[in-house]
Amino acid sequence: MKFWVAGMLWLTTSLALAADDSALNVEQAKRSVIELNNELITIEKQLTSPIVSKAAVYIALADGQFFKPMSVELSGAGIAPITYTYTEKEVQALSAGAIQPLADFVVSPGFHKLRAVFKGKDGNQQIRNLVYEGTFRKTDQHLKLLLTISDNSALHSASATLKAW
Amino acid sequence: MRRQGILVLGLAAAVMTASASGDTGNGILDRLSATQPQPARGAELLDYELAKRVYFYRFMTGQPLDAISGSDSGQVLADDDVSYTLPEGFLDVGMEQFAAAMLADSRLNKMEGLGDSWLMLAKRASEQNHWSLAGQLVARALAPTAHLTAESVAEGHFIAATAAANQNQIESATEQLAQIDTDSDWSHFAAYNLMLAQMRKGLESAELLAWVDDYRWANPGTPDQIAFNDRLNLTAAKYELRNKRYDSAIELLRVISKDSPYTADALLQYGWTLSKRWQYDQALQPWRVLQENFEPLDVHVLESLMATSYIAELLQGSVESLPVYEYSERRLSKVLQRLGQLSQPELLQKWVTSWSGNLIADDNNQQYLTATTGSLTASRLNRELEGLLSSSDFIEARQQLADIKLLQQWTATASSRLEKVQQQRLANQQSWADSSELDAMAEQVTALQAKVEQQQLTIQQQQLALVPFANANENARLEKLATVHAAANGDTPLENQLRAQAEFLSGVQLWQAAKAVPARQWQQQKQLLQLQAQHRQLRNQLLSQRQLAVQNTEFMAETAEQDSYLSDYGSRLNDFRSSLDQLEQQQGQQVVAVAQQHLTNLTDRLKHYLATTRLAIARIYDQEFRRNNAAAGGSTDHD
Repeated sequence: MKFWVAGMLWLTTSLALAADDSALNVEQAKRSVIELNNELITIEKQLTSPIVSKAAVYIALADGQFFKPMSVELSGAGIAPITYTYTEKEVQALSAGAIQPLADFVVSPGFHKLRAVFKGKDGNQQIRNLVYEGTFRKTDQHLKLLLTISDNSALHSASATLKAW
Repeated sequence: MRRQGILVLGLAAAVMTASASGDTGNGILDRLSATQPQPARGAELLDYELAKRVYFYRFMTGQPLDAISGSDSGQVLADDDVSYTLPEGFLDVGMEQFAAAMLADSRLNKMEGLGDSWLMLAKRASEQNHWSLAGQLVARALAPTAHLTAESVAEGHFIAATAAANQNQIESATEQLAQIDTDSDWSHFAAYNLMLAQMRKGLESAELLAWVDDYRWANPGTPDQIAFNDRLNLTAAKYELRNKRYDSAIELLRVISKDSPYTADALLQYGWTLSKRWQYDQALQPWRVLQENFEPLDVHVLESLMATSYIAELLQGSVESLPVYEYSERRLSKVLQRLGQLSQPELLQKWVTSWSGNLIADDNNQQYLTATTGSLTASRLNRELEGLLSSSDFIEARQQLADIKLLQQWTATASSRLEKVQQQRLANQQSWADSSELDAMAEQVTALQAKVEQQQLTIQQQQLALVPFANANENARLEKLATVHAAANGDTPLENQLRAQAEFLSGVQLWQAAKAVPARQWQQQKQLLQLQAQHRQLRNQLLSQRQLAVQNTEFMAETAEQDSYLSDYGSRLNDFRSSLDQLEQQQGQQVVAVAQQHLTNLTDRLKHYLATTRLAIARIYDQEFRRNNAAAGGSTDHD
């Protein structure tokens, strides 16, 4: 099993407590934390339920001239509602092209409805809701869904689209 | 993919160890390149791009730990765009040697745009007084290809000037200073450090005063600028005092503000300067002000107490000097008593524990793996120990202890996360083993199927009926009319009329029923379609749930292996926690030992001065006794 490989590699990072240099010991301990954290994140993702039964939702912001998100609410049949509030730093990261991993959830194969309500500020700094409603199809593979808020220059507004990555 | 990710970290870790042992022959990225995944197909490429952009999201939103160790990060850590940010990420989590090892790699070394990382490393090297290294690192930060942000350039030149000044390279430091805007804080800070270097080489009074004039803020507008001026004047005054230029020293000390962080030191130096001018009585005045207005364990107060004894001794005081000696003796005794209390290992241990337990325990702090320790309460004990133990070796040891505490917090969080995973697994397994929901759904599908079939049969029967889709009333009416028609079987006019009326009414009824056939047929058909749609939907749901159940069953087939892996991970986490506990204990002992060493040294010095003071008091009493005896004509001998 693939997890054993990671486990064996970790053994190389055990602490050398006998060393005099405590600074180095602390740094080695931090290195161990990085590796253990990597394993733990994978465990959380892959060992609670089969990864193929899961869908992950990511959020991207293209341009962001006509809409800057403040929060998002995600819901759908068979999906526990998810609410997330953005910080300024997170909006900046999204504006720079980074992608937010919003949530993972278990969903059965087949078609499912998804509704996302973004609350944010438009180009005139007015607060408004940007709503996406659509359907996605879950196969028997792990599904990555990307919700993108894009500007529409002609309409001076933004819209949200969903695509399977 | 994941294995390669871990391998990347493993290799990086190996390089760090190599770097720590001085072996920098292998470039980390050369080896990383060998393991770097090469996405060839569309889907893989998309996954790769997604992982990269997720890495940047975490990196840019203050989640350096998750950015580096996220489950998808492994596949992109060797990517050029990502490795560009990795040194900063490692610096963020407090892994300076790791970051330095990465930056020393030949490929990253040539990479453009790493100015901020070089600068941060230079800053940390300078904080640890590694001036040569700081100079090399900041030179890289200031290289045109490093693209250091404009606001950081001045800070870069400041570090360069300071590094050069600390290596007594005055010309180089002056060149760096010249490149900083004179209105910038950095220009003043660099000038201060350059002044120190010039002092080491011997600076004339006129040059020093001109330097101070040039670089102190003419109109200080902020507390920081006032504090800077005070520090500049104080340092210059100390230099002048050391070089026996007392008038100049006094001029510099007099302009220091009365409520700045440097006031206590200024009062102390003021007293020393007056004493050097043989103005012993006057010298005691600033020290008395110092002793009465600052904490008894303030280091400047302690030095002034020792100085008071020293000056009183120089005064060769008589009985008139006794109040000075006795004041000093009382104060020194109290201070020694307090220091004795503070030096108790139990108290120090308790203080270290309470202080290090006072970290900001939030997730964000854990993301940085380096503790924030600015949350001490303003208690007397904290004030005293903070003041007495402000040396760099103590602060460094304490920071490491705080970092270890933070890592312990991380392990506690990790254990709870692992427990949650195990609980979730158990709940899932129980839920998956229970097929009642699927069975109920299957029953619903079967029932719906029966309804569909029944509806189809009804439609077929209706289509074959004499009067298709007629309702019960219509059928009853037609039947009654048929009965009437059959009953009027005679040939009388009345019977003939009755038959004709029954035929007519039957015709009307049939016509009405026939007229309603399309609507009625559509209603039946619609019901059938609805039932079929419901059936289809439920059947699809059942199919997908069954697929999910198959996936879950396959997943459960690996339960034993997964449990074993989780158990192994839990053991390793426990081992790590034990190692950290041991490390924490060692570091705690080291912090206490450093603190005790400081306090012991101070106590020894104070004891020496206390003894001198007491001897002086005894001497005065002795002299007075002899003088009184002599005046009385008695013998001067006494016990």
